[in-house]
Amino acid sequence: MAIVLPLTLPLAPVNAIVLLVSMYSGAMYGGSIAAILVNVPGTGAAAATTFDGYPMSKQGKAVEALAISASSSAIGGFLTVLTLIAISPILIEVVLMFGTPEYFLMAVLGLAMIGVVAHGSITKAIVSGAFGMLLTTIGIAPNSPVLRYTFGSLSLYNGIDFIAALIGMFAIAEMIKLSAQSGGIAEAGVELGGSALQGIRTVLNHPITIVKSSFIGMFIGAVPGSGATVSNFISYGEAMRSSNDPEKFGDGEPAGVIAAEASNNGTVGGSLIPTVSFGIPGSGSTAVLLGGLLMHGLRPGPQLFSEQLGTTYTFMLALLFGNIFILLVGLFLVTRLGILTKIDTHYIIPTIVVLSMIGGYTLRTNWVDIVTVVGLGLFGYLMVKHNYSVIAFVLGVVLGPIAEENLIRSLQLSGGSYSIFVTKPLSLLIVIAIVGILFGPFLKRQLERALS
Amino acid sequence: MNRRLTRTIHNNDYLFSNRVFTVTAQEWYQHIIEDVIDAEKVILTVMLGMSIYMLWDTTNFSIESATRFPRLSGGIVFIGSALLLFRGYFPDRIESLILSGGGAFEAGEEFKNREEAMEAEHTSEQNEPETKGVSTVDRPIHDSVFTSLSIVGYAVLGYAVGLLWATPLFVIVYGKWFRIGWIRTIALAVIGFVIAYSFMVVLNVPMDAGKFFIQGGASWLPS
Repeated sequence: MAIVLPLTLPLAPVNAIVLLVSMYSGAMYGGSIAAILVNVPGTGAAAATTFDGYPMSKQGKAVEALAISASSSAIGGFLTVLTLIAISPILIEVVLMFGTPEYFLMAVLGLAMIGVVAHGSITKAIVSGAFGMLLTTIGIAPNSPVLRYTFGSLSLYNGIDFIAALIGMFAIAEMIKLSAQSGGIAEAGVELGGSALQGIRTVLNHPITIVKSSFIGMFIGAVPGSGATVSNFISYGEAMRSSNDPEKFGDGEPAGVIAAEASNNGTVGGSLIPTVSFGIPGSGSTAVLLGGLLMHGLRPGPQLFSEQLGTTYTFMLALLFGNIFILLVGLFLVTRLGILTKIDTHYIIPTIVVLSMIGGYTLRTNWVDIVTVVGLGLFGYLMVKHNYSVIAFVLGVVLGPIAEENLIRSLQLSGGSYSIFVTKPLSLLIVIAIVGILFGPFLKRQLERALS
Repeated sequence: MNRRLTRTIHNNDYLFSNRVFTVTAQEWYQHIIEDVIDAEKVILTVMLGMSIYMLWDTTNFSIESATRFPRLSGGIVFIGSALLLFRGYFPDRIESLILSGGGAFEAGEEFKNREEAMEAEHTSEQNEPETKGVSTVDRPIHDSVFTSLSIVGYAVLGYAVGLLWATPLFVIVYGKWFRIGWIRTIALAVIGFVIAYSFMVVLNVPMDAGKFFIQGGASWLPS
């Protein structure tokens, strides 16, 4: 998605956003193909799919597993997007309650949540996010004609382009990582056997699993920082717990594939809630999506629910239709295209690097963007290697300008007093939530230690 | 081999022994990459250094409101990266507090174990070439190091001669390093050139002129 962002420049905002959300939804399903065929999840969101998807392939039921994956993904995605559309009137009311101080606090809350929800050190995640925000202060300050950290260079007046940062952090860092892995995933391929029709029948025979997993995915997706990587494991666990034959899980049980796949596509609907309402992307993909919205002049928050309401509903409807395409492509094309998993990664890497560099340069024809793509690509690779949250960093880069603008405006409204962030009930509630989220895990640990 | 080399290099008694002279350039490279450079310290030093500079520079801003956000975010980066960088000097309790994790949503012990087992399997698959050498294609340097250097080279060459001309050269160098056959390498280079050319024509972005060479661009190219 990151490397496609510059390609959307000539498109109208609605078309660009429809393209990006459709890619997001499609990629969520796409991760299951490699998970089922070669036991390597295409994305973290399909990790639990390998548990039963790959054993099914080894039993000669690869086509059935792929059909189950496509059907579950489509139904899960469809259900949750439909729910999102249904609850959007309530969402609009909530969003309109938020003012400038609340938007600043929501940005802080988003970063705090990522620190707590994501795996690894909270300190590392917070530092990563704050470092991302710090980099966005390069260039002309918002609401005041001050040049910051430009070293007199005209190229730095407009600061670092967040799209270039996204391309570097996601595309280049990933390609460097991938280049160290031998060849591709070709050797482990399996023969495509089984019936697609049987796969659809199996899905329809598990209505409770599919509905439950979809909504688990939606709920977890709505929490910034958790996303499909977490939801597919939790749904799989829940399906196993509530099954009459839990011992079958892990040996090619279709319900395992249904649970994992319905939940990861269910996450899409959920993750759009904080993204479009408060500008807090919960994952890398939604960060790119948010980048796309901003690039095309669409500000998350009240604007998307008032004058741009048409655009919001258009991309929600596009997601609904996208799920139908997932089903069609999954059933009729992917079941015949196992060869996709056999492409050597060394053919893909140079092409992606070229797209990233060229895409980065075309953003503003500014060499600072190329330096950003390369510099943050290398930095991102090291961050991934040492468990520093790339998502938190990217969130910092994307949220930085929004957070600063709202901070400055809030302080202007209050005459420079920080009390504006605690005097209104809603903002006070968010401050309490931030403190609770940041210090909750430490207090919990202390409490547990004291009790034991 | 690498451990033995480290011991040899670190131990002055061995420094002048005959064994030191058997150390090859590649072994030195491995020693530097794997034993001397601590990538996490590089990350933290960059963050710490930048936050110090950016915090200091806020004293030069003429308008107070422009200093607030850089000071807020810079302060967090400064404190956090300093804590992480010097965590080894703190008592164990504080160090574990600094490194304590979140993971508010956990999928249960059994799944965590499965996930870890899967990750371990992938890691061992990825590390497999390490036993044979540092590269999956039997080159003297790590594949990730080469890819990083080649990307930096691509950017520098692109600046010098124009991205349009640097693109096929990058792809050819990459393809040959990773031992892709000539026909496929050339096909990939053509694809790269077509991508760059399409961007140039469709988005009207000049990529055929460099800052040092071919400064006038290639006017003979159809647009």
